[in-house]
Formats: sequence, C-alpha cells, structure tokens
Amino acid sequence: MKVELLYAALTLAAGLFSLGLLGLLLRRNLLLTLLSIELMLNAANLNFLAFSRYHNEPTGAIFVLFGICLAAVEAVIGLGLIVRVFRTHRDLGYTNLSALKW
Amino acid sequence: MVSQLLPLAIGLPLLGAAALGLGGLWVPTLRSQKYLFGTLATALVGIPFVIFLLTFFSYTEPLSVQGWNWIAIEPRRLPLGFYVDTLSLWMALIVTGIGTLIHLYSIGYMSEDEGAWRYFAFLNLFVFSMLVLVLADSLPLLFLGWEGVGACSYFLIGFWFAEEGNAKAAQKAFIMNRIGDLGLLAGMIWLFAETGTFDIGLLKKGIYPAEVAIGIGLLLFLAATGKSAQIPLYTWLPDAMAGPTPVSALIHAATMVTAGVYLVARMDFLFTAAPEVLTVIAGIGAATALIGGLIATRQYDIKKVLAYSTVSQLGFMFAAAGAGAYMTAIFHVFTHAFFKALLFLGSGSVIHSTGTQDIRQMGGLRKLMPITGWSFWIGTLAIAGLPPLAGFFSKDEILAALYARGSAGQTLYYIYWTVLLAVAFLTAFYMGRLAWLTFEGSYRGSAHPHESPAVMTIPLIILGAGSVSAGWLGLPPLLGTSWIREHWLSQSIKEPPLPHLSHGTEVVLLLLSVGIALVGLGVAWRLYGRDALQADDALSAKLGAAHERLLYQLGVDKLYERSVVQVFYVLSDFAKDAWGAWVGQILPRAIAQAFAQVGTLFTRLQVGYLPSYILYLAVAGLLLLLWGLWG
Repeated sequence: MKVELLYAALTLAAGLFSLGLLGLLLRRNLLLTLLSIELMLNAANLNFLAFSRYHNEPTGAIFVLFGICLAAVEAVIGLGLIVRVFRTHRDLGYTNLSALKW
Repeated sequence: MVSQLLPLAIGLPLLGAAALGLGGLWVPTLRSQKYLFGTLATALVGIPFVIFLLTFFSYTEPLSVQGWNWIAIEPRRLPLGFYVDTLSLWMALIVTGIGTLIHLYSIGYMSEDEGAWRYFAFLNLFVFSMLVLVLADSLPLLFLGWEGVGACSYFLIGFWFAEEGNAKAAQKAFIMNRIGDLGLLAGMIWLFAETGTFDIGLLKKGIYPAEVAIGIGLLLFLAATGKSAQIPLYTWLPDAMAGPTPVSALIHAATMVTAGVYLVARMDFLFTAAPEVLTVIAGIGAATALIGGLIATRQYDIKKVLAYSTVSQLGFMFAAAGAGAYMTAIFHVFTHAFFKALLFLGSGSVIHSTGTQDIRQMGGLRKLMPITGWSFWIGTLAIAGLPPLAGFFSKDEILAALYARGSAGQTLYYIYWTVLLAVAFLTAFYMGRLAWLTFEGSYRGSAHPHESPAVMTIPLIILGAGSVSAGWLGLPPLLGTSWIREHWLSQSIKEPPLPHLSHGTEVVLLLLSVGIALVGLGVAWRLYGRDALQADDALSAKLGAAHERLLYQLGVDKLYERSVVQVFYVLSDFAKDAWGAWVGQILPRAIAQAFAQVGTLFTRLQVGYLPSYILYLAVAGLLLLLWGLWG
C-alpha cells in the first residue's frame, strides 16, 4: 500500500471524526448523539485499518474487530435506553431530560 | 566479666528516673513515701558506683560497649556505644561516687519537701545523662548527654518553681547554656564534614590543619564556657543557686560544670593542634578565676560565695587545660569535686538548720553543729590550698604548669600565672572570711541551730576524708610520682610536652603556693578572727564603691540585660508588630483572596450543559495533539 493511499485514508478518518465531534457539539438529540459517537468510533477503526495495511501488520485489523464488537454492544444498549426514554418522555432532546427521577 | 555489668551501670539510674518519676506521677499516694524514693534513688546510683569501682580494680585496657545502631542512613551508621578508658572511667567514678553521697544526703535534706519524689527522679536522670556524657564514644551521644544534664539542671534549678525568681534562674541557665551548645553542635558538624566520622576514637587518629583545629577548637570551647560557666557565659551559675543545695553540690559544683573541662581533655588532640586556642582558653580561665574570686570576697549569701568560688576554681581548671596540662585539669576536677561538694553540703546543712542563707545571720555555728563546722573547715583549708589537703596538690600543679609554659618562651603564661597566684590568695581569703563569719564567734541569728541528722553528716565525713586525702594520688615530682598522672590518665590523654622545671624552681613554686595560701588565711584570720561581722562591715566601708560593685557582681548581669536581652526584646516586638502583621494578617488574607478569585474564574466553566464539556474535552485533546507535534 502506497503512502498516498494512507494519507487519503487518514484524511477521511479525520473528516469522519470531526463530523462526529461536530454532531456531538451541535445536536441535542440522543439518537443523533449515539450516531455521532458511532461515527467517531469508526474513524478510529479506519485509522487502525489504514496503518495495519500500510505496515502489513495484522494487529490493527484484529483491534478493529474488537472495536466493531464494542460498537455493536454499545448500539444495543444505547438504542435500548433511547427507546425506553422515548416511550416515557416522547422526547429525545437531552437538555430537557434533567430530572434525576421520574 | 565486669564489662558485662557496664550497661547495667549506665541503665540503672535511667531505670530509677523512670520508675520514681512515673511511679510518683501515676500513684500520687506513693509520694509521701519520701524515704522509699530517696533510698531507691541512692541505691540506683550506688550500685553503678560499685560496678565502676570493680571495673577500676580490674582495669587493664580500654573497654568498648557496643549497643544497637542508633542512627542508620545507609551507608553511614552511627552505633550507640560507650567507651571506658582511664579518663571516662575516672569521670564516671567521680559522678557516681560523689553522686551516691549527695543522694544519701538529699534523703535528709528533702525529708520535709512534698516534691521529694520528683527531686529524686530528676537527680537519677541527671546521673544517667552525666554518665552518657562522659562514657559516650561518639560526639552525638556525648551531645545527648550534654543536653540531658542541661535539661536536668534546668528542672532542678527551677525545682521550687512556684517562686518566679527560681523559674527565671532556671530559664537563664538553660538559655545561656543553649548559646554554648550551639558551639558544640557547630564544632561537631564541622568535624564530621572534615573527617566523615563522629567516633572519638577515630577522630583522635586524624591530622588537623591549623585553621580547622583553631575553628573547631574555638567552637568547642564556646560550648565549654557555657556549661562550665566561664567568661562570657558564667552569669547563670550564681543564679543557679536557686535550686536545692544538694543540687548545687552535685550539678553546679562537682560534676556537670566540669563537663566543659572534660570536653577539652577528651578532645585533647584537637586543642594540642591549635596552640592559639590554648592561649585563649588559659586567658579566659585566668580572667574568670580572677573575677569569680573578686566577687566571692564581697557576697553575703553563703551559696553565692561558693558559687563564685566554683566559677573561680573552674577558671583554674581551664587555665591548666590552656597550658596543655589536661591531666592537671582533670586532677583539679577530681579534688575540687570533693571539697566543693563538701562545702556545698556543709552550707546546705547550715541552711537547713538556720533557715537563712545570709552569713550575717549566722556565726558561732561550729559549736552548735560540730560535724558540719569541722568538715566545713576542712573543705575551707583544702580549697585554700593548704598542704597536705587535696586542693594544695592540684592547685600547685596548675601553677607549676603555667609557670613552665611561661618559661618555655610563651610570656603570656607568666601573666596568667601571676593572676592565678593572686586568685589563690583571694581563694584563701574569701573562704577564710566565709568560715569565720559562719562558724566562729557567737551566733547572731534568731533560729535554734542544731546538728543535722546522721544521713546528712555521714556524707560530710566521707567527703571530708576525701578532701584531705584525694590529693595524695597526684604527688608533685618533688615528693614522689603522681599516680593519677603517670599511671592512670596518661593512658588516655596526650599532653603537649612541657619544659622540665629545675629542682630549685619547683621548691620555690611549692613554697610560694603554700605561702600564698597561708597569707590569704592569715589575712582572713587577722581581719575576722575577733569580731567577724564588724570587721567585714569596716572593710566594706573602706572599700566604698568597690564593695558595692563587687556585691552587685560588677554589673555584668545588668550589662547583658541592656545589651542582649533588651535588644532581643526590641527585635521580638518588631517581629510581633511588623512581621506579625505581615505574616499573620496581610499575607494569609492575600493568599486566601487569590484562591477565591481563581476559584470564581473556574466556576464559570462549570455550566451543566453537556456539549460544552465535550468542547473542553475536544480543545484539551487538540492542545495535547499540538503539544505532541511541537513540544
């Protein structure tokens, strides 16, 4: 793998990460927050894969498998929570969800 | 075999101090058992004395008793160890021997005092500290003993602390000693910096360049002037008479105040390497002897006379040490311990039965209390230097040493010799005055004096015997060999060589010191033989202003009061007002304000809005990234 390709992949990952960060900073919707986190996680995964291919070293790729696993688990729990919140509040704007007890 | 008993000899007085002190403290009902406390305390000093005696009789070579590691800062270690050579054993014998007698005497003296339990605990603690001081094999341990005796001295001077004057006298002694202690500490550290060891045996083997020896020697001598009441730090000793009289006998006459002389003899190698310091020591010693002797002639308090006499005699010891005759100095420590302890205990016996310390209220007491009277006379003749009593031998040796140093070309020593000859006259005179005023003529007081109980007179008799015979251990070359010098102390002390005096010179010197003692006593007899008090008043009138000045101790206390104490007060006030305002008020408030301000600043960041925290996180991450790239 050429170094230009590595740069391209890293730039893409940085873009994805920035998008995720922007999403976190600008949106107040729990579902979108979760999506943004997912985006940042995958940016990291992309970095791992890019370096793994560049160095011909499988460790990074294995790490990504773990990362995807983690993301899946997170999504399950996160979505489960979000569905429960939506059912009780009919709202996902977390600035409104300030009560500690319902 | 005997060496195994030595830790016991050192430990028993400590055990006694702990047992008596804690026993009296925790079980107040025991306190009334004064005889129990007194007997126990006496036994716990007497047994060590027997052990030291056994050690003495079986002595062949220096013994070393090693304890545990006291301080270990790897790779350096400071073991706790005691070293018993002829010098330290001799001092230990003096301390425990005289100590036992004075403990015994105290049983009678303190029999009516409610604080006897406290008294005996402190007295035992003192004996322990003194033993640590003389037997220590390293300087820090010696320093521990040095501070220990200082603390015990403080406790016992202020024993009757309910009276403000006594407490102040104790503080004065403690603080003036502290000035000297600084010298010991600094000298000790300097020695360590030079050699890397504290062990006295190892230090002895070192070779010291002149400037180092002079510097350290002066520092150590500063320590000695504090503990042994020499110019400029002597004024605490007369005030220390506020304590019970046996304490004055043990601590402020026989043992603790000679610690400075012991220090000089112990560190002989250092002082020998610095002849300039020796000249200073001899000069200070002679000057102190003169001042002490002069003031002693015009005091009316029996203990004050003896206190200034002690200052003066200590001056003799330092003059001897300054002539390089360390063994002679220790010999005088030894004989002085007998007759001065005897004189103090005799004065205690007098005070005990007349209830006053003013010799104008005494007189004629020899007939009323014969044992006290006769033993006091023996002490008087001994300190005056009348042969064949103890004081004669040591004083003669001191004068001969100074004269020999003078004849070796150091003319300054001739001056010291002349001064000390004059002081020898003064000594005989003021002691004669004291003895005649107190014991002869007719009783002028209003009490009903009676002889003290046997527990107090027996120590007087033993000390009297010692005052007669102690000097025979150090015969002058004319009459034989000095055992203490040739066969005992020379094993541990190395004196710089003194020129040999011719036979004729020695005879003249001997006759001179006998003559001067006789003249002093003769003048006292001529003046005070008939009506002592009237003669003394007439003398005071004749002396006029000089009498006043000597009575008020030459105003040295007032001088120190104005030059040191007042300056200290002014500085303290400054510290309290100006510095105190800054450190106590303005600075803490400013610091508190600063913290409050910074705190308020950061509370603004705490907004409770989630995305802003994420923003901080992102910014911090970004900064870290930049730091990683360029830092």
